[in-house]
Amino acid sequence: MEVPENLAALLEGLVAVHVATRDAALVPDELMAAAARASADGRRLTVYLPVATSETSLANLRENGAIAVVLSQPLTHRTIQLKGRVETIGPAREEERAEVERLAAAFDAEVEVIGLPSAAVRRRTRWPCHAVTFVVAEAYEQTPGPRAGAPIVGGSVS
Amino acid sequence: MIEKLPSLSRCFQGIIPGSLATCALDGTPNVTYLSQIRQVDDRHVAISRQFFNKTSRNLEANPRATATVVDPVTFEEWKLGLRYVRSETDTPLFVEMALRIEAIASHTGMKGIFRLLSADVCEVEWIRPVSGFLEPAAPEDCCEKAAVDGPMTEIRALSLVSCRINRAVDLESLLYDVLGALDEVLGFRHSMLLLLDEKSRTLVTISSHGYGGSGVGAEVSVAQGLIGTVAATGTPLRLSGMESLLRYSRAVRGTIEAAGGGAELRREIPLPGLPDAESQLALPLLVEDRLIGVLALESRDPLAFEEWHEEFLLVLANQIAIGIDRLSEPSEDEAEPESKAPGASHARKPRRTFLYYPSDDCVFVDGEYLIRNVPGKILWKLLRARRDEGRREFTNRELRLDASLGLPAVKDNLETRLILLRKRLELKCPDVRLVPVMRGRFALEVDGEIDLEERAAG
Repeated sequence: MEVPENLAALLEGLVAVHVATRDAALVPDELMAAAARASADGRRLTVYLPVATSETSLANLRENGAIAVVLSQPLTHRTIQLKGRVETIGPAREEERAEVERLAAAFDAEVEVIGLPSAAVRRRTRWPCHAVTFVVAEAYEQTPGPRAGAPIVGGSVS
Repeated sequence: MIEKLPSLSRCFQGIIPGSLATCALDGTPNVTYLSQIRQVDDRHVAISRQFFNKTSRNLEANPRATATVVDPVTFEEWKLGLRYVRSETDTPLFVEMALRIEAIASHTGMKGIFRLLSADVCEVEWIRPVSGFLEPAAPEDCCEKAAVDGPMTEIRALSLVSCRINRAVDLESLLYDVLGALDEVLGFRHSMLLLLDEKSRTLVTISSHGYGGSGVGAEVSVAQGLIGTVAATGTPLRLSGMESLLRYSRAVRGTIEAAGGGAELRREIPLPGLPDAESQLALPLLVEDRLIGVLALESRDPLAFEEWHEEFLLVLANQIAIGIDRLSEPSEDEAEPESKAPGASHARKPRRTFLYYPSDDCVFVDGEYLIRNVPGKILWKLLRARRDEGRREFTNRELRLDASLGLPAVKDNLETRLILLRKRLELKCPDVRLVPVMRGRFALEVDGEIDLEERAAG
């Protein structure tokens, strides 16, 4: 299927990132990523998975590479889901840390507006991370409602 | 299979949406947010299915799923290994989950569109905290709530509220004292009592606490919003994290309007009471199977109402309902009315114009809405009797015998209608008063001049 033309613009403000993987028996696993970034060519997404919480997901990704990522803005529930197969897995580099911290802080700020306790929210582990990159093969609208699940083509819901 | 599901009630209140991962038979994973997840018993949870989607199809094909939920107080994360068992569509579990969704939907004008399709029951195969999700806390960061609730509080509350109900000499003092007691003992700062008007099928706010005296006279239709839903079903309903629930519902509304389906949406109705309420608990006031009204509590704290409050307050709600019913009975000593000559002149006092629309028994004073329905009809009768016959005192009995008022033969709620009328006058027109003289008798006091006008249509 076709995928969105401008992935970075589509992801703007979607600071809550959840990643699903599965094992050989098709048992899914899920975890919250510290951050996600679109590649410069707009075709790939890199998700940053905290080392502390991603053992099962990493094992799944190394075993079969199947990944689904849901990205959402907590205040508005605007949500999209991207799917694909992993190309590379490796330790996130120190020069990526500032951007990961910035994106994680954007999530913190948003959920603190909702009223969650900031002292607890800011304790969320965000580093060190594994950097997992995949080519976006499928993109779906996921904002709650009857359009949820519709494919996104060329930056809009088809 | 686990032996017993630990209590994760805070995680299940929807303040932070949980997430659910499933997998298709071709090996493609899927992840989505959960709008509602709740504990069914020691080994099962139920998740809400509002739209047919990839998650539904995946679960039908491959029942294995993993859910993640977050404690909104400590921000700790829990992971649950699930196995989909069945979808329920006509069970008490479904009804309870559907009611929560209905209440949220009607607040946002989405009734009938944003609705539960099924309650999907899953067996919990394992559950564990996500270690490493949070970094260790500094000692000063501890954010656990102090344990202030407990059996002593319950017993004290029950005793105090029962005492207030029993000692109330009239309905007005009961309504006032009960809400004050809930604040004193349980710290519920914002509460209101709404009584059912059978004739118009509306609930009318008869007493409020913590809203600065406002809110009396506010109406809610049966089946509308949280309070109306409780009245329609006779079942208590508790909403937590209302902001996040309403945001969720508005997000759905946004997608429907964007898709050109907005014409069938009604205007959003405002939540009664606190504009920034984060949680609400509403309980039916029942005498046997008969609905008297609704007790509604609100808080800015998303976790103000816990499961035990619901159970416990139902006991109190029953007592309040019986107390209201007892004090609404006509008294035996209602005397015949006395006719009195007009009193002294009221020169230099305010002049009021009362405008009455017989089509809906609605009364305006100086162009401002005052009251309607049966209390409006009663007020108009009193004002006309004062103007045409010079009457100053009236009895409840004569109102009961006046067929033109349309009071039901039994359980007429006359006392509550008079309390409502008295409070609305205090608020909008304090120089016209209904003053109790003795049980079953009251005086109409007017400080200035009044003009009466009747119009056929509003």
